[in-house]
Amino acid sequence: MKGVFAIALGILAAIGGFVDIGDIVFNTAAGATFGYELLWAVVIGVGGIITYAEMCGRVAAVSERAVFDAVRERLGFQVGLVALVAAQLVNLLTIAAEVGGVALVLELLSGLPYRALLVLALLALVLVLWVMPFGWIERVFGYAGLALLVFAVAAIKLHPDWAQVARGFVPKAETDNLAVYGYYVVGLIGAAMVPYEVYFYSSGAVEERWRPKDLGINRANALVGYTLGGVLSFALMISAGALLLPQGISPEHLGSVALVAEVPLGQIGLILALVGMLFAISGAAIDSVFAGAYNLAQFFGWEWGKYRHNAGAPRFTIMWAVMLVLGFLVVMTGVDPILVTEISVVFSVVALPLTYLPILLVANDRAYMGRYGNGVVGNVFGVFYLAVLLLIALAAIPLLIASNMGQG
Amino acid sequence: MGQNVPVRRALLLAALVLLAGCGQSTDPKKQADDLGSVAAEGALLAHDAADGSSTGPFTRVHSGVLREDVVELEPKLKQRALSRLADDIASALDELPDRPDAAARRLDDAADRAEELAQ
Amino acid sequence: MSAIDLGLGILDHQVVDSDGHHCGKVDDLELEGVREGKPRVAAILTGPPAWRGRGRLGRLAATLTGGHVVRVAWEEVAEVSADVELRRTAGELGLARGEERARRIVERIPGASL
Repeated sequence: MKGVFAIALGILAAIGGFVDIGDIVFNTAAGATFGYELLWAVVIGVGGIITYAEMCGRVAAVSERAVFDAVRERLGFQVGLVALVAAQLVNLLTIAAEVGGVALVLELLSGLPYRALLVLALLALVLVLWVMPFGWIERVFGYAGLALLVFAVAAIKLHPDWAQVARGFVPKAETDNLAVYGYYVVGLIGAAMVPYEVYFYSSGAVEERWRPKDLGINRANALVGYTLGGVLSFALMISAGALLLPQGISPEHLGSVALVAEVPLGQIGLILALVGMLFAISGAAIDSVFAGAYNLAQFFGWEWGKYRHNAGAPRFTIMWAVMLVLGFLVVMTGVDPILVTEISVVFSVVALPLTYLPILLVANDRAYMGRYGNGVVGNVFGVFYLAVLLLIALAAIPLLIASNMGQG
Repeated sequence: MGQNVPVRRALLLAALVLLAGCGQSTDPKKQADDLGSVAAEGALLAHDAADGSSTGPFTRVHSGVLREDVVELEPKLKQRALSRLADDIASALDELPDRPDAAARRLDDAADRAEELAQ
Repeated sequence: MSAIDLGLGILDHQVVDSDGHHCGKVDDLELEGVREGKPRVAAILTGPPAWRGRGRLGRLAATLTGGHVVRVAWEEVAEVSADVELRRTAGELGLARGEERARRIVERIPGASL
C-alpha cells in the first residue's frame, strides 16, 4: 500500500511538473487561433514524451546509464560532442525563457518592476537549488504546479461545445492559413517533447538506482504522469478556445493566459492560475538547469547528482549555477520572454531527432539492454516518433518564417 | 571570402528568424484585428476589475502591458480611423485601473469599431 | 575477447576509482605492440588533450579546452564492466585535479555540505 502511495505522489509531482512556459504559451495561443482543432497535436506530443521517457527510464534502469553517457558511448566523441553542443544551446534558451517567465508571473502577482523581479527570481532559484534538498524541491514545485488544474475547471465553466472539442482530437487541416497551422503543430509537439524533460527523467532514474524490478514503476510514471500532464495542456487549449477565439483575442502575454482563468472563475481563478504558473515555470527552470549540468557532467565523466550535497559534485554544482546565470543574462537584455519561449521551442524541435535517435539506438542495443530491449511495440512507437520528429525538425524553421511566428 | 560564407549564411538565418518575430504587419485589416484583440482583452480585464474579480497589481500590470502593445502599433498605422481608435484604446487602458467601469464601456465600444474597420 | 577488443570496447566509457567516484571518461587509448602484430592496450588516456586522437572535432575541442592528460597504465584497471574500475583512488592516480579545483571554489560558499 505504501508503494502505491509513493507512486501516486510521484505521479502528482510529475503532472504539476510537466507543464512549462512553452506548453502554456503554445497551448493557449493554439486555442485562441484554432479553437479545439489542434488537440490531436497535443496527443501526439504527449504520446511522444511517454514513449521516450519510458525508453530513457528503461535504459537507465537496465544499463545504469543516463542519456549523455549512452550518447557518448554509442555515438562516439565527435557526434556526441555535436549533440552536446546542440543540447546545451537549446537548454540555455529554455532556461532563459523559464527564468523570464518566472519574473513575468511575479510582476503580475506583485506589481513590482520586471527587471528587479528578474534579479529576485535568479537569487531565489539559486537559494532553492543550493539549500533545499531535491526531494523537497520536486514535491513543493510539483504539487504547487497542480494549481494549474484551475484551467480544467475554467474550461468546464466556459461551456465549450464538447462535440466540437471531441472533433478536435481528429486531425484535419481545413484552414486558409496552413503555415500558421503547421507552426502550431510543430510548437505543440515540440513543447510537449522538450529535451530537458528526458535528460532530467533519465538522470533521476540513475540517481534513484532504478533496476529492472522498477520497470513497472517507470512505465506507470511515464504513462499516467504525462497523460495527466497532457490533460492540463488540453485544459489550456480548450479554455482559450472557448473564451478568446470568439472574442478575436490573440494572447500575447502571460497575463492573457491568467485572464482565461479569471473571467469564468473570478479572483480565486486568477490567483490559482498565477500561483500554478509561478511554480510550474520555476520547477521547469530548475529541471532545465539541472538537465544542462547533467549533460555536461555525463559527457565528460564528472561526478554528478541532484541528491549529492553541493561540494560532493563540485563541477556539476558550478555548471548548474553557470547555466542559470547565463539564462538570466539572456533575458536581462530585455528581450521578451515569450519571444524567447517560442524560439527555444522551435530550435529544440530542430534538435529533437539528434536528442532521441541515440536513445532509440541504445534502447535496442542488446549489449546494454539484455532482454529488456525494445520489443516490437516499443520500436513501432519509437520509429514512428522519430519519423514525426524528423518531419517537424525539417519544417520548423521554414514554418517559423512563413507563418511570421504564428502571427500569419 | 570563402570562409565567410557560412558565417554570412548564419547571420542571414538569424536575421530572418528575428524578423519573423516582429509580428506586426502594415496590412490595415490585420492592424484592425490587432487593435480589436487588445480592445477585447482590455474589455474583459476592465469588466472583471469593475466586478472586483481581479487584483490590484494584476489589473495595473496587465492593462499597462496591453497599452504598450497599442503604443508599439501606433507608428505603423496609416489610416486615420485606425490611429484614432488606437488613441482611444490607449487612453481607456490608461484609466482602467482607476475607473474600470468607464474603461470597460469604452473598450467594448472600441472592440466593435475595430471589427467594423476590419471588414 | 582479445585485449585489444576489450580496449576498444571501453573507449568513451566512464572511469570509476576504487571509492566509486567518477573520474572522467576514457578519452583515448595508448596502444603498444601494434607493429609486432600483437596489439594491446598499454594505458588509458583521459583529459582534453587526449581528444586530439579523436578526429577533427576532437582536435578543435582539445585546442579550445587546454588542460592536462592523465595516463593511467592498464595495470591500474581492476575490472571492466559497464565502467572501467580502477584499483586505486582518483587522488592517487592524479585524476582528481579538476574536481578538486572546483571543490575548493564551492567549499568556500556557506552551505556547501548541505
